[in-house]
Formats: sequence, structure tokens, C-alpha cells
Amino acid sequence: MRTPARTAGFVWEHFKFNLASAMEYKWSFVSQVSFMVLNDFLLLFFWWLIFGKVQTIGGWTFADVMTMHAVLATAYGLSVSVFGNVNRLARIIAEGQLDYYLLLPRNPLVHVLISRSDISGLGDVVFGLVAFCLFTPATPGRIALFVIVSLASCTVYTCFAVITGSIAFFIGNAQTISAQLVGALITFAGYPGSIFKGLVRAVLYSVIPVGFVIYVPVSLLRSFSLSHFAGLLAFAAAMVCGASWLFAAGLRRYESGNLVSARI
Amino acid sequence: MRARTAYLADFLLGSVFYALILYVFVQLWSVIGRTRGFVVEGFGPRELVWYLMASEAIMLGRARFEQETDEEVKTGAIAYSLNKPYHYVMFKLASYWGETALKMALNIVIGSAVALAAVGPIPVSIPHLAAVLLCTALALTLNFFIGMVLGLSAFWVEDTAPFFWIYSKVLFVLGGLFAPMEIYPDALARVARATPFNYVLYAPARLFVQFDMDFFLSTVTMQAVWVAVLALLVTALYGMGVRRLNVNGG
Repeated sequence: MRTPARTAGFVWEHFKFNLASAMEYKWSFVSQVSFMVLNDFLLLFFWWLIFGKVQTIGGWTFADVMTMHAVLATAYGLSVSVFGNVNRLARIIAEGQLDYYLLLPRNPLVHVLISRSDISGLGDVVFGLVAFCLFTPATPGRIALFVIVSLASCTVYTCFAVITGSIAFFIGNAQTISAQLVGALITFAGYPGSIFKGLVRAVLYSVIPVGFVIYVPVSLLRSFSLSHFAGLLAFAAAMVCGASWLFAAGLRRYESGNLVSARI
Repeated sequence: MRARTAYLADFLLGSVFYALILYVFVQLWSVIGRTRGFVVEGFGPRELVWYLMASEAIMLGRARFEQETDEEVKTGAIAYSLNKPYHYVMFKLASYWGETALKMALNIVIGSAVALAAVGPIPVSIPHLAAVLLCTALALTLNFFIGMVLGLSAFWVEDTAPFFWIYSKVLFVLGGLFAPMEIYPDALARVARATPFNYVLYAPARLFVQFDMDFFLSTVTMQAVWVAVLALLVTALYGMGVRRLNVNGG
């Protein structure tokens, strides 16, 4: 890919194709999306219970916690619905299934990520937007900012998953470690950042970048700061570079597999 | 059990998530516990952590057989079990318990270590633990039959995965996964106590933290009733499904 615009076009065409393919199975499509929306709303139950008893948790209000869930769901949903192989990268590498992508004149990382869509992710996106509008003071400006920070959050999440998946180039079977690291990010991202202190907090802004996936976006939506906003975008850009570099470095060590598979 | 321990490192790493959840909740309850106005009858931060240790041990200790059942029904692979000298549902139950027993043992060791280190011990006795163990075994069996009802619905629908998402959230809400029903508003607690889901998580976890003989007896009675009802339902669904499978040719 020579230009970002062409890459974006390629991603969009693939997404449309995956969406059309998923819509062939109507019950499956409708149930996956609608049940995921319901599933996400039920997740809020715990916070509804807790905030029925306390006003804030470590300085986080109910609206902050709802913003947290909205950003997380939107970022995660976008990631898995557009880059559907993002959480399967370690397995694809370990099983030697990259061969197909290496033979085509496209960026193999982008191509492998977009070859599949997890349609339930669209339910997460719907939930994120609706929850943000329902439970937080939503204005056009705040909604625009929500979309931008969610895109940045999605970028950081996707790149982190690519980095953890790329470990497979170096150690072989990395499916469990990759799933655990991504699972840790999602787990920490579902609770107010203020409850974590000291070393754990430092880890959440570095090794497992939950801070940039959730805490910084929530703080921007609570009170906007240009320096924090620039920091978030810079971190997202750095993650794109880091993930691309690691994947390319790993690709040099990649050994083709002898697993026979069919792409239909 | 041998099948599940073949990849031991993978199996052990699977428990990291459980330890992580416990750590997060230790932090959460310690912050909330210091907040003025947060009072739950009979539960301080220590009891809440041990409650979660027990409820999450069950939640994450359950073998996930549903995807396998869904695939077997959808692909017709279930037909291969029809001529075997065992009943498909009983075979699945044995396989489920093989994995669940191991995961539960590991979760209890890890969960107890994390909770002990974080908040210290709670008073327990051997007879009390034996009673909780019985209640937990019934809870996990009840979970199997609920899962099997949902899994067998693959005979009629294209994809059962969404049912399991909702089931896990129903366990979360009506099962009392993260918090005991003493925190719930009265009306909701009454609804939750009328469903079978509270017997999967809340009842065994509450018995572990606050043992009470009357509650124990009523719990195991209701668990046995629900297991019997759902076992009959599973038998009926399996029979109808297999007939449908024959009609479609598998």
C-alpha cells in the first residue's frame, strides 16, 4: 500500500464484504448484534448496584464509569469487527497460516487482520454510542470527542493485540500468553483507574497500556486537555509504528507451515 | 482429566485471569469499603473478597462444553455418538466434570492464596467446608444442565453463542457473581432468589462466607429439584433433536 487512503479503501472494501457475508445468516447476524447490546447493558448492572450505595469510587462518578464502559465497548467493538483476526494472530502465525497473505501484493499485517470480522463487535459499538448518549451529558462536541478518543483507543488496543500476537514469531505457541495479556488489558479497563496505585498503576500506563485505552480518554471526556489529547494521539501513532515494526521483524523469522487449509 | 492436563502450562496459565479478577476486586472493595455510607448486612470488605473468591471459582471453574455441543449438533457430528454404548448427555456430563474438578481444585488453591494474602482468613470448619463442597457440586451440575438446554437448542437455531453470552450475564445479575444479594434492592433480590441461577453462584458462595444450616438445607433441596427438572427437559430436548437430526439426515 502506497498511501493511507488506499489502505483505508482496502480495509473498507474488506469490511463491507465481511458484513455482507455475515448478513447471509440472518438469525446469526441479528442475534449476535442484538444480544451483544443486551449483554453489554447487563454489565452495567453491577455499577448500578454500587452507585446506589455510594456517590463516587475513588473520585469516579457514575457518569465516569459509564463513559469508561462506552469507550471500551466502542474501541473493542470497532477493533474486532474491522480487524477480526486481531485476537487470533498468535494462532495464525503458529500454524503457519500467513503463507496466503505473503503471496499477495498487500501489506500482510493489514490483510491478515481484516480477513475476518467478528460481527458481535458491532453490538459493542452500538452499545457504546447509546450508553454514552444515555448516561453521560452528551452534546455534539462531546460526541465528536467521544468518537475521536474511541478511535485512538481502538488503535492502541489493536496494536497491543498485534504486539502480543507477534510474540508467536519468537516463541512459537504464544496463544495463551497473548490471550492473557489482552484479557488483562480488558479486565483492568473495566474498572476505575483510581483504584490502582503504585507499581500496578505504572504497569497500566506502560506494559499493558490500559491508561491509553481507557483512563486518558475518560479524563479527556471529563475535562479536555490539549496536552493529554496530543499525548494520546502520539501514543497511538507510536503503537502503530511499534506493532508494524515488531510484526515485520517477526516475519523475517517466520517459517511456513505444512498445514493444508482452504480459504472459501 | 488426562486430556485437560496434557498441556499443563496452558492449563495453569488459564488461572491467571482468575487471580487478576480477584486482585482487581480486592482493590475495588477496599476503596468502596472505606467510603462512607457503604454498609452491607453481614458483609465487610473481607467477607466480600472471600465471597467473590468462591463465586468466581465456580464461574471460571465451569468447563466450557457449550461450543463443542453447538458444533457437534450443527455439523451433525453428534450422529457418531448415537451408535456408541453410552448416552450422549451422560458422556458430556462425565467429560464436563473431568475438566471442572481440576479447574475448581486449582481455583480454590489460587483463590484462597490471593484472598488470604489480601484480607486474611475468615472462620471456617471442616463440616462447614464439606457442606459447601456438596452445595458446590450440585451448583456445578445444575450449571451443566442449564448449559445443555441452551446447547441443544442448536437443533433449532443457527447459532447458540448469544444464548451463552446472555446466560453468563444472567448469572452475573441473578446469580450474584460479583456481589451477594444482600446488596440488591429487596424486589430484585426476591426475583433472583426465585430463579435457579442463584443456586449456581450465590448460594454456595454465601454458605462459604456465612454458614447457616437452614439455608444449607433449603439450598441443597432446591438445587436437587432444579437438577431433576432440567435433566428431564434435557432428555426431552435431546430426544426431539435426535429425531429431527434423523429427518434431516445429519
